[in-house]
Amino acid sequence: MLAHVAGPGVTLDVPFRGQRDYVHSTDLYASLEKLAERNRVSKSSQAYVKRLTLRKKAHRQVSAYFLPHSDAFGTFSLSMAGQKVEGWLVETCVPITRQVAFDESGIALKAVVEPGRAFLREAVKGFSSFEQAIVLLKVLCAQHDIGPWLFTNIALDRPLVEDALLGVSRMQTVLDRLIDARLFQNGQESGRLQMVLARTR
Amino acid sequence: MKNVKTISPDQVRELMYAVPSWARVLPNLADDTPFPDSGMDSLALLELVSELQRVYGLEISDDDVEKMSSLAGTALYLSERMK
Repeated sequence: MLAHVAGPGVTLDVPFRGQRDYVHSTDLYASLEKLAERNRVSKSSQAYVKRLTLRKKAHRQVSAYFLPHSDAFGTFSLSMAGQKVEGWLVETCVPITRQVAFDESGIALKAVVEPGRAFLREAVKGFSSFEQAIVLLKVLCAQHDIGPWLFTNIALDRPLVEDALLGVSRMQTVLDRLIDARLFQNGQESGRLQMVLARTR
Repeated sequence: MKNVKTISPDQVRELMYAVPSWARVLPNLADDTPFPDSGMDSLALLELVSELQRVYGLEISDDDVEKMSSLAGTALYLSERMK
């Protein structure tokens, strides 16, 4: 499984998002979802990003490797027909020349915010579930500290479904600089998300 | 009589295997190896504290983190907290 990409890295071809000069988690997640989809074992089998962890910002194009890489700025797991495939994200020397618009205020404005949780009453059109989850988490983190907060981890028990009603609830605060939250889709707990204060990374 | 629970370095090690970043270095990490010598970054420390808080239901402070300088130190700290 994925043996053909085990050696050299697979270029993910990610853009910059909004005014950022670093690769956004939403683009990495979307690229890895496509990678999982392309390598789906069969039409009926499940293939999705089970975990994505980012430890540093990347400012250039990113390659995914399926062997341990000492220069990795992040790691991920794909769930392929029930099997877990581990991967490493490495920044290449290829510059990013593409920039895409991203106005997350459309999601934030629709978020219902209560102490310790944030959720949507309806899916926000034009945004992926991952984008919506990230913005909800950012809103939740802002209850603790104005930030800036950076995504660091998502670990899913089941695939993220597009058009699902999403919510996040704070599980714990770690050393005043990491928020650990539960992710819900359609009322069902679906995984965990974490963000850290930017000065931590 | 107080219920005293002792946490062993092996129990801490087992728990740390659940944290992917730590799982990779654990085979080469002796019980008394200082964590800073393991090459782990500041985020790894947060990941470890997150897991410890979640599993043991504790709130760990920055001052307490200084006591968790190795696997053995973390086991000792947890044993003290669980008394």
